[in-house]
Amino acid sequence: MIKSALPRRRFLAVTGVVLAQAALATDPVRAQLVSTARRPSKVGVAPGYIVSGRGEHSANPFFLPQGKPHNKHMPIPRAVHGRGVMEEGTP
Amino acid sequence: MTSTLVLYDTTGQWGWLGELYAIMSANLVSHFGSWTAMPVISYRSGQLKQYTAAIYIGSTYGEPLPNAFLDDVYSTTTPVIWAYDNIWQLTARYPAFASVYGWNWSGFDFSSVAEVDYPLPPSTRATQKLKRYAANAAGIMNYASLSAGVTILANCVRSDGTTFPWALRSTGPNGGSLTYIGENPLVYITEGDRYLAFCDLLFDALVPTAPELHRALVRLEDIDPTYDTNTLKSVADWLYSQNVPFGFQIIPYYVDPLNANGLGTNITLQSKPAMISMIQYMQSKGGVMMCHGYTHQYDSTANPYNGVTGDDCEFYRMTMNSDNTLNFQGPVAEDSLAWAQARFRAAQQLYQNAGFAMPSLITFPSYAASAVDYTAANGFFTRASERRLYTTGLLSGQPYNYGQVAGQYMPYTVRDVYGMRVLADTLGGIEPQPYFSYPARLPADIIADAQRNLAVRKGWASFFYHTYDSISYLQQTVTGLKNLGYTFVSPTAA
Repeated sequence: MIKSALPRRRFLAVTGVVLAQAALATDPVRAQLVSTARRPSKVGVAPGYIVSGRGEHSANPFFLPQGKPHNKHMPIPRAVHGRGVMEEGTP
Repeated sequence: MTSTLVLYDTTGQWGWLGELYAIMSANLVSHFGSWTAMPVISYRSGQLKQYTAAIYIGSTYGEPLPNAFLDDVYSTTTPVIWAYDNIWQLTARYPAFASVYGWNWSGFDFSSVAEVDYPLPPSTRATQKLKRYAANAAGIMNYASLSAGVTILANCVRSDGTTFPWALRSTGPNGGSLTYIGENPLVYITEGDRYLAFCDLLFDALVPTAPELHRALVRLEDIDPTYDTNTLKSVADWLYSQNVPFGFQIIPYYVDPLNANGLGTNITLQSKPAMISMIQYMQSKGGVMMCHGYTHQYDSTANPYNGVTGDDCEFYRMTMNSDNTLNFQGPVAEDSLAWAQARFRAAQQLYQNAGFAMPSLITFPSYAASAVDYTAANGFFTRASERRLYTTGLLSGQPYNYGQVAGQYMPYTVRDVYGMRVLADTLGGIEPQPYFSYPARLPADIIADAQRNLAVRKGWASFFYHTYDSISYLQQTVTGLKNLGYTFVSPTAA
């Protein structure tokens, strides 16, 4: 956890702006975007705050299935059937 | 109506992964029709021909494949898609395989591959440079022989620019096609990933005549009763001026039990007449209200951040790692069908108190919920616009094991293993600023992935936008997607 005297969200917002400007300054397309002022429509909101499902890291189940190897014997599953949306109709 | 047989591995210490890959495959083929999933070791002679097509995901190296399966694949008249391991069992059983099918494997290539090009000529569609996680060290099958009769469907591009096939197809002795993919496309998935090539290859097997069609969805994310209505009006007006229907999520109950924001707590939708009017206004401008949980946070605790509505996860426990990545811990302590149903009923009451019917669409907060929560949602909603989590036990009938879980985004509408109609969620959200190891995700990134997404012949471009970010991000993204040929439609039409 990051320790800071600043409230967490304000800390993230401040550091986020600095990092964004540093990271994007070399890309003219992105630099143009950075210059656009944020609208403080939601007080205290920290950009990039919600990261569920994002990121190329090993704890993200949307990137990599989670679980450990095990040797516990499991019964062989039976066949399972499921319905479709039938959107494509008859081929 | 199509039907697909999904065959998966079960043996070995990683055998449980086979069930997760089968779930993901079943979700995808549900777009086309019904499916049956079963362990490949249970395969019985003649089953292939009972289906429109079959998929086998070889995830366990050395899975003991039944001879009945190998024999039926070799002599099939049914299209078969085989991914990754154990193809050597087929070629060993049929020494004539190389001469009949026109190719043979040589071994796994462990080069760093960060790009997969798909589709390739003779397809008339434009080749897209799909992403691949370069650090994926599982290897991709390479080939000892390839005759002229083999169609290379996609190519791996090594860091030095050289290529070798990622997927190929040829015809067997009885006219059935075998599509072989040299790796497992269901791991290391990101936006614009080579996973999309797998998603598109299913059309060849199941509905090869499907016309190309590219539609788009946009969601306004995480709106709670405290949101600025003037901003919402500006966004709705602009989308309406561009003839862009849209979804907007409403969290009906704002709470902040730890007083992290100082905005107050227990703020209901009905207590904000301006927000009620704005919802009506957005609906008049082509907006479709979507449920985004009851509170979009959990209890009076950080889950994982601060307990504030819109910031925390509601239906699943999450903790933060030291590097600020998240751990998906599992269901919350109270989790049950009745608990989830009670939250949906509470949300429904708040919508009704504000004069609205319960939305027919849901996005679970933070893209996370338990199997029973997803099941509970089936009783309240007809569509889900989101990415979802899937755990072992859903096919095997064993108790759900939340230590074995995978998430998935859909490139097109499916009916997932929970039975819900799940809409495409291909592009993620606009995130203007980086967050520790998470890079910013700007319109240029989303548009670039939407370009890659054209690899799916009926693929959707689907993204979300927080209205507290500059409207210019939304404007650039919508314009960029339109320029790529996408047509925005209402989430109720997806």
